[in-house]
Formats: sequence, structure tokens, C-alpha cells
Amino acid sequence: MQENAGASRPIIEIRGLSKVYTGPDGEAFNALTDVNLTIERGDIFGIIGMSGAGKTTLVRCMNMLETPTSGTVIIDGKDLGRLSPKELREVRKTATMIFQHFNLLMQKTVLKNVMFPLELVGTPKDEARKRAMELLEIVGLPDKANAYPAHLSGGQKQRVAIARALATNPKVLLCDEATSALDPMTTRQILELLKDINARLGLTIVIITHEMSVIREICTKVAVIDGSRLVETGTVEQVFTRPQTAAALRLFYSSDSAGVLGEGPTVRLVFEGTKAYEPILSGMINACHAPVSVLHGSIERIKGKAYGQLVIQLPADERAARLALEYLEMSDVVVEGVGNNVDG
Amino acid sequence: MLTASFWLQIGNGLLETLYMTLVSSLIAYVLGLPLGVLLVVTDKSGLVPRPTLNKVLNVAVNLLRSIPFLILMIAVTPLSRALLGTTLGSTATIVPLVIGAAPFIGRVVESSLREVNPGVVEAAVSMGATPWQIITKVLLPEALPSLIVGAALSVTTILGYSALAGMLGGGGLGALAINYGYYRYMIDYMYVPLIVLVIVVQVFQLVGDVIARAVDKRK
Repeated sequence: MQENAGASRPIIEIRGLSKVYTGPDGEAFNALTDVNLTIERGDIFGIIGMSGAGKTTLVRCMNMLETPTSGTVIIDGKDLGRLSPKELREVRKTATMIFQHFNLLMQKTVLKNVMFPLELVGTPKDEARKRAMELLEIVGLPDKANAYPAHLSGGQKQRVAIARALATNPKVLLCDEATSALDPMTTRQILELLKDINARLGLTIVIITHEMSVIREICTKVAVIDGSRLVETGTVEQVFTRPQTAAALRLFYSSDSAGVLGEGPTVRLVFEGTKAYEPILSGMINACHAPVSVLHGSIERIKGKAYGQLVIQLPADERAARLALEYLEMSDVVVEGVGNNVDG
Repeated sequence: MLTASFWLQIGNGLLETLYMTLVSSLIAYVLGLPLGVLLVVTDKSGLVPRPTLNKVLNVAVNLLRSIPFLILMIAVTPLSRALLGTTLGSTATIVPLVIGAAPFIGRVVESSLREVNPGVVEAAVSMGATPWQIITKVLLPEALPSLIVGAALSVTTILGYSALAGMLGGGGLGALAINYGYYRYMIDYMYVPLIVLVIVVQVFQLVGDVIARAVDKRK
């Protein structure tokens, strides 16, 4: 590597990361297994998975709130496992965190909460106050400076937490299920704010979530975690239109209904862009002359672009099913098998 | 009966009781507050895990807590004599009161600190706070309302102990009630100190509750 590689190096590099918890009865539980992940500067990187998949453990390893069992975590060129406690505290000021339950100091005012990280590093009071007020402007809460957290709504508390996390001018903001305790409307507003901060300050944002909508809304890249392993990584468009794994597919629609009705193969169609508006289904039915069942359908927006997704069950009759598939492939939509009879 | 000299005795007894209680509480807190903090932070899931130290402290606290105060008072008389040259009077009583109260306060402080949301502590860790900063800027301030409620509990408990010290040559209202009320069967010396003690406990409790409510920003 070159001398000046530090600046162009990815902000987060994770190699062979594993975390094993040992239960009280000595039973081992793998929370993370051999995770490799690279996050580039300025990305809004989503990590999605079902609860218990290991995503929270993963983000907590990024600032050593959780000590990995093996593997390396490199933040901004620094290998966290090799740092002294003092050096680690310094890195934590450059990779700050927000939480699902906000974790504000309940006995301090909003202003004092935002000043808190600055107080820790010994910033003079006046300067800290000025900086905290600027941050409260950014998150849109300057009028709540003297309120106590107990009097704020969930969304407002998260805004305060964001302001607090930005106080030390971090390079990375780690968001651990930051919108999971919020209603959909507030979630949108918080995501807008994060997007705005990413654009304005250029800091890298890592988002841990179990909600696909959060990923679609703001992430540039996404990693799918399933059963302690990172199973898929790519741009959000890639993973949505051509998921490589069943785990990724599962996150896009509930597969409960698929594969239980009738006998025909189940397929998932993804229509990109303008194709979302073309009458593909009726064309397909004309081609195969047999009825098909729609199991699931939606139109999703990924960063302003429309994607239709449809999960259908093809006719049980093999010939008709083949005709239908041929038609679909000709129409240039992405077709994947998800249920019985077709490999996922 | 209820003469001026009687009230003078009651007044003096009250002052002695307050003196013993407040000075003992103060010294006991100087020992008990760090003890409570240590019990929390050296825990195996605490900020600075020191399992051996934690175990030693726990055993020591339980040991001291299991000695009845009356026995403790007798047992520490050599210490009182060594420290103060006497085992009689209000000041001498402070020695057993502190030794009896410090472990109790340690437990009270410990339970207050354990009420602090671990998520808030974790947030401070994630901001790069040192353990000392977390103790002084997060744990203690966040637990303040609960610590004050605990202080009211501790002070009233010490007040009760101080009355017991009257049996063994201590001063205060307890001594009046025992020496005159019990041994000489003077009913008024028995009940007036009792009523005054009840009022003092009520006042301490009330003051504690009012302050705790005033500093509680959680609702």
C-alpha cells in the first residue's frame, strides 16, 4: 500500500470476523461467523437481517462495544483489536452511534445532552454550547434546547441523539435499529435527516435494520445477514432485482403464502423502471392460455426509480408453464423461482 | 412533671440526636458512596470488572450487615476508646454508627446505581468516555433522585440506631427514654422523646421526598 493510502482506503474493513457467546451452561452460540465486509467512505450502508441474525452484534463490533472472538475490524485505517483503551476511546469519537431506544441522559437538558461528548473531551463550555446549538439547528430542534428528554416525542429524542452523535465531528455514524421504535411517518423524517447529513457532511452511515423499507429509502449499498453469516452484499438495486440467496428474497416479501396453494411452480418477477407499467401479465396469460394466481404484488421505489415485484404461481400443466416462462423471458423481466418445483 | 428543665433536657437530647445522626451519616456516606460505586463497577458485567475485589467487598458488606447493631456497638468499644479516648457520650457513638451504617449505605447506593439504564452507560462508552467520567457524569447524576430517596432512608435508619446507642452510654433522645423512662419508669421521659423521634423521622423523610421530586427530570 502507498503512504497516502489512508485517505482512499475504505472507511470500514472487516475481515474474518466471528463472535461466539458462551451461555451460562457452557453452550456456545455463534452470533457472527467469518464476516467479511468493506464499507466505502460516504456510503449509506444498510445491514439487514431477521432478528437474531447477528446484525446488532456486527455493528457493535464496529466500535468494540462487543469484543470479537476472532477477526479484525479496521476503522479509518486503525485495527481496533490492537489499540490501547485510550486509543480505542479516540476511535470511538470518530465512529459514533445512535440506538433504538435513544439512550439520552434523562437528568440533563437537550442542550446538555448534545454538549456531553464535548464535555468529555474538555471543550470549553461556551464553545461547546455554541457547537451544540448549531447541531440542534441541523436536526431541527433549536427550540427544545432547554427541555428535558422526558418531554420529547420518540422522533425528537432520536434527533437529539443524532445531534449528540455528530458533536465530535465523526467520520462514521453507526445506527443500531435507530428507527425501529418509531412510527412510519417519523421513520421517514429521521431517514430524511440522515440522508441530508450524509450529503451535507459527507460522513459514512451504517444502518442496521430489519425493515426493507429503510434500506430502500436511503441506502446505497446493502448487506444481508442470515444465521450469523453475511450471505449477500451489493447495491440496493442489485440485491432487490437479482437476489442471490433465499435469505435476501425472504426480506422482500413474506413467503408464507408461496408454495402452499396449488401445484404449479412459484416465480418472482421484477419489472424495472418503465416496465412496471406494461401489461405483462395479460400478455403472459394470452401466451399460455391458462390461469395463474397472484400471490404477492407491490411497486417499490428505490431512490426514486419504480420497481414492480410480483410473485405468481404458474399453471400446474407443464406445457402451459413453459409457455408462460418463455413469454416472461422474452419480455425482459427478471424471473426467479422461489417456491416448489423451481430452484431458488 | 413537664417543667422547663424537662424541656431543656428534651431539647438537648434532640440536638445530641441530630448531631450523632448527621455527623455519622456524613462520614458513613464518605465511605458508603464509594463502596456502592465499587460494588457496581467491579461487578463481572460492570465498567471495570474486578471479580475478586467484588467478591471480597460483597462478603465484607454482608458480614458487617449481619451483626446486630447492639452487638456491634459493644464489639467496637475498644476502637472508640482508641480513636476518641472514651466510649461514652454522643461523639463516641459515632464510631459504631459509622461502622454499622457504611455497609448499609453501600447497598443502598448500589441499588440506586443499578437502576440507571444500561443503554445510557453504553452510549457514554460509545462516545469514548473513561470509566471515571461514566461514574461521575453518568451513573451518579442519572441516579440522583434515587440516591436522595436512599439518603432519606439511610439517615432515618441511622437515627434509629442512634437511639439504640442510648442503652450503652450514648447520648440523645434514646438515652433519655432509656435512662429516665425505662429505668426510672418516668412515663413522660418515655413518650415525649418517642414523639419527638417520630416527628424527626417524618421531617427527614419529607425533606428527602421533596428534594428527590425536585431533582427528578424523568417525568
